[in-house]
Amino acid sequence: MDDSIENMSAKHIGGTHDLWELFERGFALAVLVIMLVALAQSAVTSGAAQTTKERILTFAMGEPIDSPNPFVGITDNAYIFFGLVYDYLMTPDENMVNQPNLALEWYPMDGSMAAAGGTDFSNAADFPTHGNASDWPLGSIWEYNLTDDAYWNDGVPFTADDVEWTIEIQIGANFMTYWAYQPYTRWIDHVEKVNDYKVRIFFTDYDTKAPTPVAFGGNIFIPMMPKHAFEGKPSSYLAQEWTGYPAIGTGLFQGTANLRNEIVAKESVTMIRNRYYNWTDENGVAHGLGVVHKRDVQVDKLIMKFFSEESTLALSIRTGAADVGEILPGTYMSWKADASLPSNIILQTTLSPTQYSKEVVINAYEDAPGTLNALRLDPAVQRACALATNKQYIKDVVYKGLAEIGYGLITPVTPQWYWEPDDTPSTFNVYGAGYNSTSQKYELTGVVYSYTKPMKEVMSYDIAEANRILNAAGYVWANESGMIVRKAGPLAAARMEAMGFGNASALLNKKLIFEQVVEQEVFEDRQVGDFLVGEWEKIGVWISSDGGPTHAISLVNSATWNQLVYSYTYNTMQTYWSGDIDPNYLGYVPTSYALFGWNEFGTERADYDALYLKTVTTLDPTERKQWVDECQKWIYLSGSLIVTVYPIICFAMNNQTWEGWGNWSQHPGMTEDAFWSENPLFWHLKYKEKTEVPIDPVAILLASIVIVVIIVAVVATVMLRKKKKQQMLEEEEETEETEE
Amino acid sequence: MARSMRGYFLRKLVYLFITILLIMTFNFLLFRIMPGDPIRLLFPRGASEETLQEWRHLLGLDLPLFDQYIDYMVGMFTGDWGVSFKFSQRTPILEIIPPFLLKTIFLSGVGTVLAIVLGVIYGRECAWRKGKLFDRIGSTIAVVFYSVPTFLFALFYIMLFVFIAPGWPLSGATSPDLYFSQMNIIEQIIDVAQHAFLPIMSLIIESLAGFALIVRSSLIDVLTEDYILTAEAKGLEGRDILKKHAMPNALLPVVAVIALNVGWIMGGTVMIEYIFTYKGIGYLSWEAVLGYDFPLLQAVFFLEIIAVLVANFIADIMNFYLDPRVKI
Repeated sequence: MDDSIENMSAKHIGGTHDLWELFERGFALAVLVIMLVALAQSAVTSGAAQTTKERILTFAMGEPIDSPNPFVGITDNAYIFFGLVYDYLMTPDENMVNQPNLALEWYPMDGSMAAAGGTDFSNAADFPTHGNASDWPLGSIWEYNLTDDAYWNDGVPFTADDVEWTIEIQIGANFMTYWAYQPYTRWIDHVEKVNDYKVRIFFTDYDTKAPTPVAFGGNIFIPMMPKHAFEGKPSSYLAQEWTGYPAIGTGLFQGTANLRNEIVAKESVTMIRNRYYNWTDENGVAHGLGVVHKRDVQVDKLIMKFFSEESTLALSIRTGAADVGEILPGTYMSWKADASLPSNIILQTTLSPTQYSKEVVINAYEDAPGTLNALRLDPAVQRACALATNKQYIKDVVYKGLAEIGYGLITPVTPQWYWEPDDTPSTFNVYGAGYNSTSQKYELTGVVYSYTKPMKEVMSYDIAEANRILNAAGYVWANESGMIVRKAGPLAAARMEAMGFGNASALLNKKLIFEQVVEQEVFEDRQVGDFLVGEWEKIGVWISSDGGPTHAISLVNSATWNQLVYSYTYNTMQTYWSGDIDPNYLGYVPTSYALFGWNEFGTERADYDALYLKTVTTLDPTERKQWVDECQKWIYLSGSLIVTVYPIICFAMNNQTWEGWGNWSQHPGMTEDAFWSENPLFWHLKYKEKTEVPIDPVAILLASIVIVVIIVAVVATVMLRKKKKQQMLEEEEETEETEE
Repeated sequence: MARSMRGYFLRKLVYLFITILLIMTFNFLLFRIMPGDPIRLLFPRGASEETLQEWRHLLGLDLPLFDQYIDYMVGMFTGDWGVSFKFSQRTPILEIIPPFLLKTIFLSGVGTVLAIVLGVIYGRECAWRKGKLFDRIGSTIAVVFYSVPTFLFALFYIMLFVFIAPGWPLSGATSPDLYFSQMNIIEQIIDVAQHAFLPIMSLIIESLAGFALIVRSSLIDVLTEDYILTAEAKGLEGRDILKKHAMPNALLPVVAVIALNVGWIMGGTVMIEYIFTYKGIGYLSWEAVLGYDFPLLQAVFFLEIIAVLVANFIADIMNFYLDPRVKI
């Protein structure tokens, strides 16, 4: 039959035209035309954005905005959106130093100053307790003079009512409901509107209600909301029901009428300038926040374009479809090494302006579920694990050198608060334990092992020291079914009971087996976890996903990670933190006040709380710095909270349309993701007039060749077929004539 | 005895309805037995247990499982598909899905039509030239295309177009709203076509090759049948025999494959939509899986399953018409 097919094809190629054949040809022609039109249009419009008169800046971003509601949204890009639309009382400049924003100036007061300024301390509604001015020390009240020339993007003037309302809805009975800004609201008692452009905030301790001086009064990063837009709504409305539309802010930008659809579609969000940021009235007088602060902003429109695939994001910057975006370290490294990288592409690296740090955490919560391994609470075990964590390797291999080694939660991006260990000697003691027959319980005895090193080395990678600590603490090696692991010997069990961490007999022979909970989506955490599996094994600590022989980290999805971590149902885990420029924000996280809330470490230590309180209540910056240092030192030496690195973020920008990007490593406050209020990047960017779009002649040549080849191929095929058909017909006619 | 069309149709319809009910139940249970608390995704940091409990109540997650199931089933049939847990804060599912669904329908619809038309022509021409150079090269290319993962083509196209047409859009379904809203209708059509071109080309390449291979193999079988010889003996021309007698029978297996292919294409769009940030149902399901957004995930899966089931149903009905043996 093969022959018959071949015969048929030889004999009968080019049968009659039927509808299908017409369809085929029409289809081919249509595809060709569409390709040609689209390609031509692509070449013509490759720089369409630049030829329009509007000055448009395009951000290439990864994860889309999850919610435009600043009390609900959690992604970094949502925070960037909040910073664009809403204003805060103050705003950090490119050097991470606060500048006036909605508040023009602010200063601490005491009760007598407030009373002199009109505060009525006898008003029981505001002062149910502490109704004497003398009860309020300096710094427990802060006064803010607000601008009288800022406008919401619906044209309504901004006033003190808005500040009072925004803060009041988040405190008191609503404190737990509004969780997003708790490091500030925990300390706020109430807000007094002095006049339309002046407010006083009164600070007390959330638990004791005692007036408390706060040092962070000049660093309150709560987005201000328009009271007039929510009047009549319940006080919990913003946290529980509001979808985030319309987004009425005083910020530099506002959404378009299509904002809701854009947020839902998650492809791009177009921001237009807030028309009331800088406007002129009928008398020719200029108004608005931009005018108040003399901020010259050239960006007319901002497009936030979201990419799910990083390589597409990076290429869009390279081709000019986007002006700037964060790229992966791998892309950064390869572009950096690429000699053919176009000269208009700028690469920059910087520490995150939001103090991004990565942590390995040993659960310090003592009342965690009983199924957890109590040996994790032993300071000797925590210290040994910390010493077996090679931060240099994590920096060099996992982060490809694009990171700095971590110590505390505050990163070098805020040098005024950053702490780094020095040469001061630091000693770690392992205490023994013995049975007291009088009290009939185990008690700690003298030091059985001690080591001293300069502070900057005392937590450095040292497997031998870690093993010495565990040996001294009574952990003995065991080999059980291939698991080479340490277990609690009599001394370790006794020490644990003496420290109040369980019953000695129950803990005897318990192995140092911990699971490590890692979010499967976070690639670097997985790499670090896999590395630690082998490293901690060297000191007899077995990371296991099943509590037994399976020697691996526990990879879980985000929901499970959150569930385990925030209920303290984990032995060890990996996480990250970031915060604002004041130490109050990150200092709050490890406190007992934040347990079952922001505190995912389970730390519940009175000594840390006391240090944190000092950082809150000490107004003198120099003295405060010392307490901040003490907090960071506590974290560094804790052993349970191992800050591994401060990752460096990589950016690419295309300067075809915009210049004035600045040096982001020197001025991290102007990076794309500096989201605490108005990003100073906008004050610096200068639009480059540009009418011609350079198109690579080689690309045009190649495209033309491809098109010509396609056309020639199609025409040749059609002609050949016609010719063949003609020949066949002639042959058939000849044959018929011969037969006749 | 020949079956009646109405009986066949009704029987298939009943099976379809039962299948949908079972799948809905499975769809509901699947996400409830997965580990993790979705509420924790809404509040990764800072929220107290009281707040979490409030939200569990607001979203109905504090109800007994059976009550949740009843609510779910009733809701699905009454147009109340619930609200998204994560997506723009409690947005109704039926408000979220349409723009994503339209993009996927466009992408997979155009992709499927193109894949079928081109695949059938390709396979037919290979079969017609069986053993010749065209067939040898064509079949090899088809096998290669069929074997290579779709996303590799996507990445290849991106690299290629960055080089030959730097202005070509690499992501999104349209230009940003700022530009798109200012275009006239012709420009909008071209804009949509440009944005869809690379995703569609990536999407169809594998299914096109699949169709081509099936048609080729099926057609070669059909061309060996006696009735083809009879037709030739009656003096019909080769191309007429091919199109009027061989192709209708050779396309029978293709009809079944088309139905199956609907599900494959729906799945295939996940990767393509992800790479090209072409935010359709595939991308939405990816987001919903990562976000533990049960109601959204249930809705997306439900739609995908319905698409496959309906496609199969239509294929059954078409088979009834095309293949007389089904009536026996």
